[in-house]
Amino acid sequence: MAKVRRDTSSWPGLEVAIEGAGLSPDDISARLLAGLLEAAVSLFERVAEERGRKVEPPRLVAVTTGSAAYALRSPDPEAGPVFDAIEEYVEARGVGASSTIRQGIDRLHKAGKGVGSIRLARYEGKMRATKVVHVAPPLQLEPAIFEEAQELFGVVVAVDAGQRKGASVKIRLDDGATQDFDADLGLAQRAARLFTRPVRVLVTYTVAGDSPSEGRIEELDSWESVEEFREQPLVAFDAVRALARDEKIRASDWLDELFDEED
Amino acid sequence: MLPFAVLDTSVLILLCTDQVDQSEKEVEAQHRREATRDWIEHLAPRVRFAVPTPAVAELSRPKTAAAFLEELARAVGRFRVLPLTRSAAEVAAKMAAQRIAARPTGAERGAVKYDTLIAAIAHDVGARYVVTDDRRDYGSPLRAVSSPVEIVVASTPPPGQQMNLIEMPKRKK
Repeated sequence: MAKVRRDTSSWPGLEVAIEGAGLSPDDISARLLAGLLEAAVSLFERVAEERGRKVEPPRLVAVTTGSAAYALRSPDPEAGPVFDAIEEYVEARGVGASSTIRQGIDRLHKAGKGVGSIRLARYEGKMRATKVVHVAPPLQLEPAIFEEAQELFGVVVAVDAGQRKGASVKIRLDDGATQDFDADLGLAQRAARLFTRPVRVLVTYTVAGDSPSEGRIEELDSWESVEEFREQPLVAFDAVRALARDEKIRASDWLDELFDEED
Repeated sequence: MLPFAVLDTSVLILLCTDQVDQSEKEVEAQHRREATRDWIEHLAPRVRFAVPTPAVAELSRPKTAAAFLEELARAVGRFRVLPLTRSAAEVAAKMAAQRIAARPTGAERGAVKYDTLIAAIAHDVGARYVVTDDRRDYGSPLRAVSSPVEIVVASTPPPGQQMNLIEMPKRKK
């Protein structure tokens, strides 16, 4: 008994086509078609994963003769927003998309290489939408570059002043890591005087994207007091409490002021 | 390396002052101070105390004697002073987003409050505790980023010292 053909016209979908004058499906090699479908489905999966949804992948439900257009539809209603997002990402040339999705767009763009450009169109029910989006390579985004300052604490464990450009200071940071920092000669000399002693350093990094450059020391001071007061922190306030008594500073009023301001 | 316990402004005020008279408010402040000092001693073996820079800003009072403020700065400087770094500022923005978004349209511009900045710094450095006098809302900002930072209410006695519990009058906010 012949299988009854399912009506897929209500399934959300996307037409993926190779655009070229006079192109039809029989102009497309099986290898190129496989690459195109793989790239399209891979982009679908990446977008679905980013949205945190497990969505039934699309199926090839029709081939339009006369234009090398392939109808991909999914029986899953959740696929609709995924197709919408694909259309938006492609239209924006990957701006605002994650690097995985940008790679997916690039792969889809390259899938028609040598034959024709790739275009996408959503389905609105049975009909293809009039809006067509051409797949272009993602825009190259230049990461913002900025300087970031950090205050770090550690112990000077080495100073190398024999470099052509300034000097370098190695510090064992209090989180256990050891790091080299660039420094000018004056700061390196101060670091040398504080060899094996605890220091506080102000370091600037040039950050581009997620990768900071090697830090440069802007300030370096001795910082010995931490151990002294770590075990007996209340002692650190003895002198200031004596002055507070002399000045008759009322904590109750001060706290009221503080919380009045906050409100 | 021991985790940080971040001291907020109210705790620092209690630690750097003494009771100056027998007024009801000063007596109550003294109860809070004693409990706070107990907490500091209780936590000292297991944490590194740190002071966030917004608390340093809040401690400054223009009418206070310069010598006192100078000595206060010296006392605070003996602890790790934690700056509001770029990443902490990003955390603060996330913490404040919900509150700012909930503002009615046309309302006055919402500021990021000191407690949000302090909570953001504590979260960003991976602190174990924020130590506070419990008149501030650190819970909301910390919950907004699912932070593991715990809030220590220093005006109540630390564990094992509940025998010292003093019934304190409820104060007006």
